[in-house]
Amino acid sequence: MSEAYFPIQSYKAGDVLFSRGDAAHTFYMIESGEVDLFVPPANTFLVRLGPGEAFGEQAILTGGVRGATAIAMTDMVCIQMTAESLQEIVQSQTSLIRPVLEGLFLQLYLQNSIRSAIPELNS
Amino acid sequence: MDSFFFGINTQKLSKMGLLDSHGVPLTDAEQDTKLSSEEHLFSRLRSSSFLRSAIFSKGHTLFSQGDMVEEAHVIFQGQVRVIAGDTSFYMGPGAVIGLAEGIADVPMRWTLQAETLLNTRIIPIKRAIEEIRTTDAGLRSICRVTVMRTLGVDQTPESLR
Repeated sequence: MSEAYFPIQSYKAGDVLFSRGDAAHTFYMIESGEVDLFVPPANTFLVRLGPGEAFGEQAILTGGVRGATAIAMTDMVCIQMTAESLQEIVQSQTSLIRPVLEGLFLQLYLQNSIRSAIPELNS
Repeated sequence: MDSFFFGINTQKLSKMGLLDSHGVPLTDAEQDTKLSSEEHLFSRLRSSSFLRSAIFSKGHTLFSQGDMVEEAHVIFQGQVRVIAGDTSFYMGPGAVIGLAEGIADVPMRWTLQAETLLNTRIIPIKRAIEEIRTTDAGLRSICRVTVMRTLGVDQTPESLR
């Protein structure tokens, strides 16, 4: 996945990359810096991600919304992909990795639907 | 809770000829405008040459709670009843069963039984993990984050480190 094909965006420490509930159009891969994911309103800390890590996978799904708020903890540089470009990458694969990725995205979609409809299963 | 059903709307795909071997497949451009992302994924998985098919009779238990996963399933026809403690619901075409659990090497949380005759495509877990380990770092990261979100865990599974 060459960065030459995707826009690179810089963020300052403290920048909010997206907020919970926002429409998800972009998938992020961290080149440098760190981001924390929180769930409001209690700002429950989910995870800190650093170089080489990816987040924002809801962008691959129709009508995907952000499940968390992402805040840059340091100055950051991210490669940003749209849902379309991510799908093109997946479709260009010629081995089992392609159905594995497609299956994982589909499982995430159904899992999100189940969590939303039957919240008691989240506990 | 038994009334809950999760899956892809196959009636729409059927009307478009995507589930009929005699139908004319849509071009990529047509699919881009007529299908949602999830329908795209389902349609592509259905026609993937990397996956073999399996048929299960009504009543067959695909997984019991606590089972480890050697082969994940994508449902293409039929439906399963999912038993999660005191809760049960149904899943049908488009449901992916055991893929994230198998890759993360964690046990199944639910019991799943075929409610009807079931047609699935099988994803072998060992081969899936080998593919993830040898693919480029970007796709590996996408796999890792998707598995973690699906399972609702915040620690990277050992198999994906």
